[in-house]
Amino acid sequence: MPRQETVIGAVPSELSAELRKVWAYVKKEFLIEKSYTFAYLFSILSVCTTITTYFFIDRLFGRQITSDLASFDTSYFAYVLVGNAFFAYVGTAIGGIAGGIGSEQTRGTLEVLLGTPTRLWVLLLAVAIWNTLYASIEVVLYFFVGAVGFDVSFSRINWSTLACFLALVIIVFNSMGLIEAAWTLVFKRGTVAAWAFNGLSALLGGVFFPVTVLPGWLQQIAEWNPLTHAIRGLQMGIYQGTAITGLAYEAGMLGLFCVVLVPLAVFSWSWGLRHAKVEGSLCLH
Amino acid sequence: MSNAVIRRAQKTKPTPGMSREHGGDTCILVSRLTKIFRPLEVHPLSWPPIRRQSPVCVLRDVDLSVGRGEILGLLGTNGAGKTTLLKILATLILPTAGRITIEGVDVIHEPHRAIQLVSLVTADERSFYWPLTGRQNLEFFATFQGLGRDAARRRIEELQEQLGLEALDRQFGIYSTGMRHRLAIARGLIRRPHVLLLDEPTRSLDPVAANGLRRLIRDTLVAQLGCTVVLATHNLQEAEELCDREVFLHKGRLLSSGIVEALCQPTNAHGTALGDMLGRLTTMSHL
Repeated sequence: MPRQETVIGAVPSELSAELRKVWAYVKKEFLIEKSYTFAYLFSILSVCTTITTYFFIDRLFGRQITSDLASFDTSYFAYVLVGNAFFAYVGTAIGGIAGGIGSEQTRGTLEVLLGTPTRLWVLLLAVAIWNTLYASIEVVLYFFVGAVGFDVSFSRINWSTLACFLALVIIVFNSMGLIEAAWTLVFKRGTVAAWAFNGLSALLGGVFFPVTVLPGWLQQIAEWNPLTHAIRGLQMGIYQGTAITGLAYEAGMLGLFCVVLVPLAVFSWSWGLRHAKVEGSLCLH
Repeated sequence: MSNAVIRRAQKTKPTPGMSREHGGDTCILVSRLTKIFRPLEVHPLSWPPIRRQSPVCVLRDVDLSVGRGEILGLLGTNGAGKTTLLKILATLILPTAGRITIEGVDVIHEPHRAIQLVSLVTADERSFYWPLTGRQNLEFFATFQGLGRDAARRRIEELQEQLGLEALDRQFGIYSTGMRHRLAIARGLIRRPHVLLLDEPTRSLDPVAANGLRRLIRDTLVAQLGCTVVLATHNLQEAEELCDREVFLHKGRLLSSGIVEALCQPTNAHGTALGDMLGRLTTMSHL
């Protein structure tokens, strides 16, 4: 009996084939996003209204430099602009990844994707890259509107500090997002917990005000929130041009979170996936 | 009636799932496969907050072998365990006990190798990205199947002709049920798998498309390409027409060939329908 032709010959190499899958996933998400043009326009509008709201709050209090803001050497509006911009990474990683995986699961496409010869890390990397790109566009938009519309100066940015903190933020929060997505895979509902976590993270992380405003015991808790270190490092790198060596504690703490969270994310996914395969719940309708 | 059926069944050798004509050239081997589901329940306001529901046994001690190039019909009612068996073969569900090999590859312990041999086509035609076109969907899944861009495009053109895929450049969301189903079949065939697992493949197809698909399976996939096919269906006529052999799953057990033969005896001028068989099965309460 004649044998079927193998597809291996059509693929240049295993790694490039896997990377093409990542690209295909990103392209697919982009095309889906593009098809909902109004949703995207409304999210741009949402960024503009958020920034404008904080602009007037800043104006209301007379643009004072309080002692809590003194170390950042900037106005409240400029501080909250950066806080909100980088909180986008948290929002899209925690909640966004689980939401994406959840909708693939509900649609039945997660089962189809896992039924292809695709390594799990490829799928996770693809999801994380898309979320990071999406959040990055939002960050750029915040900066653009802040600079052009509200005359915020970013002239002192230390680019190497920014790049370093950005990389750490992406790794830490995508890992947290993947842990939450694994939870969603097992328990079907994860986004409600994500909203609660996001709110708590923003409150303790210094997104809307410096952590020094909080009572001492809350400041102690805030030290165990990766967002606290991320926001502090980014504010200092952007508005004071502080070099990475001057932010060794913040970078070190984020590095520590990376060391703990990356293996935990991989383990959670392996466990969640195995559980879903035991329960037969990769596909939910 | 039921006693006679059982006596005839007992005279026959009880090896229901074993391939006869393909015995020396086995592609799929399933031994003592059991699957018990015990889903988790979350009750956040009570203790313990996470509990397991009572167990449901979906497959019990299933022994099955499928020869290379054979078309095996997997018959059974809703809830018989057909889809679960196919999903276990496709590495999407882990069994509770038992062993499965496909071309000698252990499906449970080497899923990444096994999945390269298998393709599952489910009856669920919704598992696509609705805002994308049919072609964009197929190209995306072809990439995940490991095909290069050019190879994927050529293969999509071939399948377009073979399956009568019309309007591939329209959005998936506006396709008819039949077209969505054909696209699901095209997705399953895109890689030319060694083993094709079909879950009610003609359920939403019109008679012309269903015949075309049967011809494609029999004449191209099996006769020309040597593909092994496991076809889960409710349609006994389709199974008899297309398959080399049929096995019957009932409440998670594979019925012995004797019982199936006895059940298949015509009771009237119209022959045996699956409905008649099910009626007879209900009288055999010990099964």
